[in-house]
Amino acid sequence: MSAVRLRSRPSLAVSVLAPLVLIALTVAVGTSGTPSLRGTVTTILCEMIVVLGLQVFIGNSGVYSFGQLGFASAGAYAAALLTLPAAFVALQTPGLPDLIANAQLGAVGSTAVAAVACGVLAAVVGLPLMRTSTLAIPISTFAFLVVAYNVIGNWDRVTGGSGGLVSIPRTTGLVSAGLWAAAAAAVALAYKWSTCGYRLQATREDEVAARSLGIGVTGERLIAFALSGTLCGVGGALAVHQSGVLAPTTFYFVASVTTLTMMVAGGARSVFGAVLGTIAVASVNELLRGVEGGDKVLGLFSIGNTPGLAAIGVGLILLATMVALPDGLTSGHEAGELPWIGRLLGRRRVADRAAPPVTAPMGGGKDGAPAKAPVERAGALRAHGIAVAFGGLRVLRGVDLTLRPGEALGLIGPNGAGKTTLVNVLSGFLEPNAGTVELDGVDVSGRSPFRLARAGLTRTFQGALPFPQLSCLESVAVGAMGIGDRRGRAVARAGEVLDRLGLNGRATQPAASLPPAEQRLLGVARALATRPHYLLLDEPAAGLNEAEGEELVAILRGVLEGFGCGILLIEHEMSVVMSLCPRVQVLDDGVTLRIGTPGEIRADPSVIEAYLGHSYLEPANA
Amino acid sequence: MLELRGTKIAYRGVEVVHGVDFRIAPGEVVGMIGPNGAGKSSVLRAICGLLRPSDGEVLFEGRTLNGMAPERIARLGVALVPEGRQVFRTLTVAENLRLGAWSVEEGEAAIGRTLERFPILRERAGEHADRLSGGERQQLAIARALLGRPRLLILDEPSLGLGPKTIDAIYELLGELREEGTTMLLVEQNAARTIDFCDRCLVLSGGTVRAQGKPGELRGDFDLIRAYLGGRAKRETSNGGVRR
Repeated sequence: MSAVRLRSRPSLAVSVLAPLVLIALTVAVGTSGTPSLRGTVTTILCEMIVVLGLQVFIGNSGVYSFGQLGFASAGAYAAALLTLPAAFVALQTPGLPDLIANAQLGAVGSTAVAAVACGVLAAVVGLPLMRTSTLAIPISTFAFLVVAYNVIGNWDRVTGGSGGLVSIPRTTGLVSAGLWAAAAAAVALAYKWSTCGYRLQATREDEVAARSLGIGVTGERLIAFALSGTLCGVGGALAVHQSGVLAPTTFYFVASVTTLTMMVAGGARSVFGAVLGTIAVASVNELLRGVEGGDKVLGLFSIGNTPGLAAIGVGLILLATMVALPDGLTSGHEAGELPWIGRLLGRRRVADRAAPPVTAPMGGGKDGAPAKAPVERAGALRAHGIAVAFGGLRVLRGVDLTLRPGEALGLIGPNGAGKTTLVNVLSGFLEPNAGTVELDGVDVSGRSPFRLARAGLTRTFQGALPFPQLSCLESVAVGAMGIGDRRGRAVARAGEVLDRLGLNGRATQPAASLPPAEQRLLGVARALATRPHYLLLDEPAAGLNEAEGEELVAILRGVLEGFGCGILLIEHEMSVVMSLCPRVQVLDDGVTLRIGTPGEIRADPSVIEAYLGHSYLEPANA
Repeated sequence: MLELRGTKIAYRGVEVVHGVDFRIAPGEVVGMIGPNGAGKSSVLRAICGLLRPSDGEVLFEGRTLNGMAPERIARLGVALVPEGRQVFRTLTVAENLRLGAWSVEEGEAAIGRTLERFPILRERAGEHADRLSGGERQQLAIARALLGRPRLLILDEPSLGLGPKTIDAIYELLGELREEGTTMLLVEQNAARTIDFCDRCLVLSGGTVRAQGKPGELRGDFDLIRAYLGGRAKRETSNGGVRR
């Protein structure tokens, strides 16, 4: 299975090396300059660590947080108080507990403690915040920033209050800042490409689809939030040991806007973007700060003292980016995925290369053992008396359904009969007004979709709900990661599933680039990667022509035989239903009209009346 | 009425449609069939201004549509019913329809007339569109497009996700529109039904027009068409022509 890789080796190498090389170049520029330039570059590197922290959460979750600078502030205060010389403690922070006051840690020690403290703080703060909705998180994190600012500003005896702290040991050197930044970039990349990172990216691409694959949105966001808080804490700790002074305003509005601008300008989804964006925005910012102080523009003329010019510049960069380059300088790609870097290296675009075909047989059940024979499983998916009403409209009025492992059950009925609503109930996306759902003898009514997916019940959607920015291989691998597979195993599994569904030629293409019908097939592949015992397919053949529909039937038959999972198939293409399902349930107006074999269904006058229509029979008779 | 001259379409430098030529006369109903990935949707998107052809021209009543904004093309009377039931989900059915009729003088009356054709929509006029089932949304999308009184109605897979009876109803409606003289361009996966319904069909495969003709002519070449449509698989139909 080593043949299946998420990205080619050259692409991987370029993606990892590019940010490190940029950081090394930045350090080199600093070393060759004046002491004042050294200081500036060191500060920029500290900022870069904070920006990388922002990228870890915002870039991978797609959810904006305005509170991360609160963690930088906390990290800075923690590091400062742990290193403040005893003489200055008595003067500035008389209320500081002795344990901290006497710690007198070194540069690395204080940074490490600050990092851990901020990670824990972020986890605690994130616990309630990450439970709020995607739209509420930006607001609630902003509230955290305001609270953090006011606590620090008013806790005079411990933090020195609004006056801030001075005489903090200046231990952060240019090279050490560079090393920390390189480490932070490596951590951000490792996270992005880890199992957790992919799961979070899936929630960014499509929250509903991610949940259907067993991914718990709150939990994944919390992990990234804590890691982000840790990195921000490191950045803050190093920064304060560079400047030697600290105030509550150091990491507040201005710093928040500046670091967010850096991340957005580079491209939020990209770690390379965070590094590049920091350097680009900081350079412009420094230039403007010089001009604002009366320096000559490009050595030609001076426009005199113009306070606020740098801040206006940062605001304009943010505006311009949003208008002209919403995905930033890197378009959200890592360096190895950038076409122009590929050309620079004289290579074909790495992303265009198709993965080598995988011919290994399909792996089997949850234990990963190859399953040649259908898995014999007891139990079933059972629904009893499901009723759903939207306002006054009764969509389902007491529907029963039983699906056994290894069985294909067709669910048909006219548009609006309640088929999709029933699948929404079975998969946990909708809580019914009445009725219960039982999975292998356990009552699972009211369980969330991602828990059901982990218990072996996975669904697809009418719309394909692709993960547009992820490649096909990544999209399917995320399915396996959702139920807890490690990365290597998930990727191998994804390769097998794509191969089985005839999509292996598409492995490295972004999901968004597929034609609609193949996106739907990709949805099936993604669901299969979760190793479901029960698979609910909502119109998988929609948009396929006859021949393609027949191919899908062959694929699904292979799934039935190879996996032994039960398939519930909602489908209007009767040839697909009839050739795959020995048993068909007809839903009409929220109740079960008939359950029977395809032959019985086709001949049933009530089904013809409600669903098939009389014209359906004519050509068959002709 | 509509003419494509050597239209080529490329995505990020990769050409997917390699020079397509065809004309649609006023009142004509033209079908476009072909396997997935043949470029059908790309051609429709190019006509509606949603993407710009990399080469060639798209003419509507003698005017070039190249580079024209989608909303301006819509105002010329080109209406697209997109694949995938794209309705305004947070608005009610009635509000969706009102938006479709924004440019029509007698909006309310037109909505009333349209609703007569879609009894299920009339029943649920006050419901939010996200409460509609997939098939109902499809009907809403078609109804909304009709309200603009299009001169050219473009339908991208109107039967997608619909039950057999509903499809019959939709085609009955399309038949009525044809009687009224509406010009239509229809993309469908169900080749047999499309060939029977349309005055003329284009078979698109691999980004070029492989065949075109009237139902009688194409029917004779049906095996050939199946070969194009099948793409990878070319098995015989197993359902004995139950669905046509």
